[in-house]
Amino acid sequence: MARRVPFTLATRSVPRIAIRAENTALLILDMQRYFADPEGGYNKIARDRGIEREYTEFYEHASLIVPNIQNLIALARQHSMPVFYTQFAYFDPSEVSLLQKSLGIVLACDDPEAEILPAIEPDEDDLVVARTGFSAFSNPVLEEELRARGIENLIITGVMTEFSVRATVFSALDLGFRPIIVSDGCAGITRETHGGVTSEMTFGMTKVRTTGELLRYAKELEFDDVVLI
Amino acid sequence: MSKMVHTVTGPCKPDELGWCQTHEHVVCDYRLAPRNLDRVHRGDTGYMYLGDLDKQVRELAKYHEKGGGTVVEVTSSGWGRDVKKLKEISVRSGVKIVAMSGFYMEPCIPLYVDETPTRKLADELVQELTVGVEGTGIRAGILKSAILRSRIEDIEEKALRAVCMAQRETGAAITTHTTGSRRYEIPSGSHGPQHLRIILEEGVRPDRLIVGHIDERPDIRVLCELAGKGCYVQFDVLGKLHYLKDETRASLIKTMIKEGHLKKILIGTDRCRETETYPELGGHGYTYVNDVFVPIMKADGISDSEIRTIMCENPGEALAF
Amino acid sequence: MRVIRTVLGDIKPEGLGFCHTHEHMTCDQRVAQIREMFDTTRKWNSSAMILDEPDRTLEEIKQFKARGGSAMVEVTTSAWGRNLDALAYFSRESGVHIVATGGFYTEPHMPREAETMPIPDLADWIVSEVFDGVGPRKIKVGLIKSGIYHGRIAGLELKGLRAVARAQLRTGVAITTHTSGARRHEVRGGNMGAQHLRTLFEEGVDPHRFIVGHTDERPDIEFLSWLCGLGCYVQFDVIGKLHWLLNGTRFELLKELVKRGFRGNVLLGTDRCHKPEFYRDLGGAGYTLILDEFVPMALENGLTQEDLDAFLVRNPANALAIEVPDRSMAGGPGSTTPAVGAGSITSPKVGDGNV
Repeated sequence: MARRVPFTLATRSVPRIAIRAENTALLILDMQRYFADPEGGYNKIARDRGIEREYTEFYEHASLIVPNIQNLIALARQHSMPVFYTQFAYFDPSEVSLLQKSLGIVLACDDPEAEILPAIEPDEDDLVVARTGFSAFSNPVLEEELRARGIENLIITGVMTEFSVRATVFSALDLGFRPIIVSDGCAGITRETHGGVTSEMTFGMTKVRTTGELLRYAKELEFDDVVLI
Repeated sequence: MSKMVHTVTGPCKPDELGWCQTHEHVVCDYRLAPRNLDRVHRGDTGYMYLGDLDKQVRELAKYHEKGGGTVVEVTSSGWGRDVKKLKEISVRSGVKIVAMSGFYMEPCIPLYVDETPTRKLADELVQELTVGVEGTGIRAGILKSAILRSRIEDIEEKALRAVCMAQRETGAAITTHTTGSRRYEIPSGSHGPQHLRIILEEGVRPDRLIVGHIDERPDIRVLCELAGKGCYVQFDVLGKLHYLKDETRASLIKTMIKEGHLKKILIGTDRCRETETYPELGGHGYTYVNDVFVPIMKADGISDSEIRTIMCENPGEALAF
Repeated sequence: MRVIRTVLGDIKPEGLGFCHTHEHMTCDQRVAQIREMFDTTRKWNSSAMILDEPDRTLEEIKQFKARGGSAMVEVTTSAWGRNLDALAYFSRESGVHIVATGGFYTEPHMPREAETMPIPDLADWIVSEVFDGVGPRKIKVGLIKSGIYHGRIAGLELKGLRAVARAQLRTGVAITTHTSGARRHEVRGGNMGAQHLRTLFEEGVDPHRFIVGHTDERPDIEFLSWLCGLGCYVQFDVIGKLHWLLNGTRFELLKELVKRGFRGNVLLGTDRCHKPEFYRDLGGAGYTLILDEFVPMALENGLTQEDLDAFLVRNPANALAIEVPDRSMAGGPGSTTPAVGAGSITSPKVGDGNV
């Protein structure tokens, strides 16, 4: 049974938000070989430890979200919305964080394990932000780049729902952005916790939407400059 | 029973209308608007008011002399429609007048509309079209829906749905208005596509829709698409050059004819202010098309027979039910 | 003459008995037609709503009857697995009155035709399901539904609502509603009731024919009181789903509604639509949760037998009753066409017959 988190029974309802091509960006979190590829480093450790069955549902989920992320990238391109990728990796050795060391995931941004999956590889104009905390905003450059472009709404995809996605959504709310979590564009380490996190996160200015719904809203952008969701 | 056009002086056959401008005002007074959202609209051109019966007879008589047969009078009950005065003016000037039923934009929508169910509103409109307006026995001959803002919503949407119900029951045409000041907020330049979407949803055929005020901010592709679906496209602010040059209007009409949409074009001049209508105040009466626009069309190569179709044949077909 | 229209024919309102007004017996999201908006990982997530084993469902319906239940309203609409023939079979085999539902569920579950059919035609179709019935056995629906998924009523769902409103005016059956739980935090008041009313008033529907569903997902007593004050029914229909609300909280809200004079506005249900909450071997409760747990606990928590009789017997009868001309009662109980004689029908597969 789903768990009880009655926080939002007594908070104000989430208001509508205005999506424009100019104020919205797509965020693709940590879809790098280490995490998102079953042949990547994380699953190798699992295999070495004989426990890879713990992660079969995660990798199934991760492969199911790829076509949806591809669709959202196409949507972003069509409307000239910026696309930001993150890597859990350091840009400079001096940045290596306590978190990276304590998790045992210390990757340089040009490490093959930090490379974004070929199926959704970045264009030349896309920004790939290497950072060493859970939240995408743990590297200040992301906030700078978003503010410089006047971005207010973030369409959030990637892995893992319970960790990077969740942390990024909280940071985004703290910083005054409006996160839109794509429920079938993020993969969770288990089905249950993925479902739990996405259903618990509807507070503040957060919206949870499916890829199909976002594609539907985007059609309205072809007719009008703003879509209210 | 064959279809007729219903004027304030009785029904007539579609081919008896003669030269017909399909969007005009003859008796109106914007000061009557019950929900004026702004102060009474005054610009350099004054407010929308035509109430001097003798002068109206004078101007329409001139129209008649120049060959004018009919005007479609699109003032709604919310801002001064008066079918008895229209009948008097019609008889005295010799010009047939088609009166409307339905609604203008929000400031002019009567207050009772808020609480009245759509079905009841439709019943009243049907009554006006089939029996007569307010017990006068004078029938309306066309329906209207108008939109103030950039989107169809709220009370204006409710009014449109009542109009659609009445259309389905009577067969009358629906003529529409897009507010000029908002045309820049509408990607297509007019509410035509939005109106079309809703009337289709309500089961109304596209060829019963007359899209008005398209010559305020036109896009030829949208116009051809609407005409291609069967809608009438109405150039009705002729002479209002701050919206569009008449030469541009002529070239749009020419292109539409070339694309095969001759039978979907309608024309009017939307006279609604004394300053637009009385020569002594700088206006041009109802004869602008004859005096000024026809020569411009001809200079562009539009033929007499094509002009005849637009002015004398299309209106009857659009209006008859 | 007032009747309630069941899948086996019209019955007198007094004959309804103990009634849940929001349940599912057959349903299958996999056949939903406008599914582009679904979460594409949902099937894999197995949170899909599928009840497709009629024998087990019939067993649970019999249990409901054995524990004292008399009637249920089955709220699955066409286009996602409604099976009126199966419902008729269940009703005949168990003796439980079943009222079936026309109209629409949420956008992804609406029939494709709803996108292109004009509203008057959609209204005609809904009316025909009430007056003429569906399929060769002409099984009729006794309730119509409008389901809203988004945070606002717009687009296809609004179109469906208008058709439902117009059908309501022509048939007199009540309108029952759904607010999607996933969106309840984006809806002021916690459910779509107020938004539905805006359109219903515009179309001329009497609020006394309106049942606001899923009010116990994110309730607000002031909002519920306001709805009751207008004459609407409020339906606590996700009883037992404690992640939405504790049953204890439900009791407090119900007591307050009674205190404010709204005992006659309350309806109850458990909205069983997933196997884990339905099959006992998966931890589910069949259809007996209210009889087994909720009623006893309610009595211990300050609600009276009178209250419960209102919620579960009197109010459902009032909500579901429609006015028909005398002597036009549609085929009495059991009197459907000869091909479906008692005992001669085998358990139909979900997907047979209907729609």
